[in-house]
Amino acid sequence: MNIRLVAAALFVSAVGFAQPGGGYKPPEGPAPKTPWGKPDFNGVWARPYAPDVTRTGGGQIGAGELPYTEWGKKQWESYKPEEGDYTGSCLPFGHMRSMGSPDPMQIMQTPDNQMAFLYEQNSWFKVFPVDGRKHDDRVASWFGNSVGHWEGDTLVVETINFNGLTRLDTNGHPHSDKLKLTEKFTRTDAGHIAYEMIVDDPKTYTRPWTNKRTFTLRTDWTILEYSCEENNKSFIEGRIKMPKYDTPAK
Amino acid sequence: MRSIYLSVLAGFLATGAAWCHHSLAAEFDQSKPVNITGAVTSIDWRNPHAWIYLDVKDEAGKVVKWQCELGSPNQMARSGWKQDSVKIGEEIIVAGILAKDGTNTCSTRNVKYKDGRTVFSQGGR
Repeated sequence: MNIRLVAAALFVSAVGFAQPGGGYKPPEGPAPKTPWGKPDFNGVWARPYAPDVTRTGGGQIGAGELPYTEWGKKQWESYKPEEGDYTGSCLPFGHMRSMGSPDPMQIMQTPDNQMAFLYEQNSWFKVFPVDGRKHDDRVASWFGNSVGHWEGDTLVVETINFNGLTRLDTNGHPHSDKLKLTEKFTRTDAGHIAYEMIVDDPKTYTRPWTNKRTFTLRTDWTILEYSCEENNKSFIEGRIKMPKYDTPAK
Repeated sequence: MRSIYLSVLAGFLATGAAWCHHSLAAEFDQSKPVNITGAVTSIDWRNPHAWIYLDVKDEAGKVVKWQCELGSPNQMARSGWKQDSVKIGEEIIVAGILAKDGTNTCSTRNVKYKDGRTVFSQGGR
């Protein structure tokens, strides 16, 4: 698909702009711990913009060619954002698109095992427990239902119960409501997080696959307000269309 | 002279679309790059995208209105670009990609002063 080829060609330059620049140097030294003894992820983090989860470059190790099922391949080949673009319409980006957006994310964690991901992208957020509990029963959602636990000094976040209406990246790589997303966060030093995303979605892919990224601490940034709706001229003037969800991708 | 140039610019796309957060293809035609030279009439510095508005003279000398999408103000501010980096009435050159709907709308890739200095590099989605 020509659009995707162009987008892929842009990838290297794209992620390059998402990297820290302007002379900023992240803190150096060992990975810090919280006063209660857990790896400390608090802070504002710059992350690689990841418009294409298959490609490698700019702080991301991509998955390469994806192992589509027949259903998954059909979802990929039939994707036409010009006929309906959920992020362009300011519907929720969902968890994966928020993790891969070019805007920073703040992480906050508490002594009572709660963690918050504060995405600047559209001022969305996610709060989840990190105490080893199982997923509770709730309505499927854009961001899914997350629980966390520790594997040594690595934070593992498992998310299920997606509504199946989101995509994995800007290029539109698909997933279904059967997706189990596992994310691993390791504070490798004072300035960085090693991030690994494992996509396990047997309806869309014949086997699980991974994508790895490096996050950089920005001690000089704060999270800013981001209204998607306020000045979304492209949608207001009709150039971007709201998707029709009469038949969700299930 | 203010004028509109529609041309295929070798290598142009390779420098574009950095601050994407949603699909460029949903709205813009990446096979139609455009260079626009005109006078700034206003800048709308609001999320999710800032927009810059221009008065552009066509080849017949008639003034036509253009609007071009920039990056988000948050991203642009972090890179040191300010709302008043260009002044109202100032002539600038915008390199962008045309909207599919045929209006005078573009997604900006870079903005330069007429002396060649870069004001904004990047933008759009």
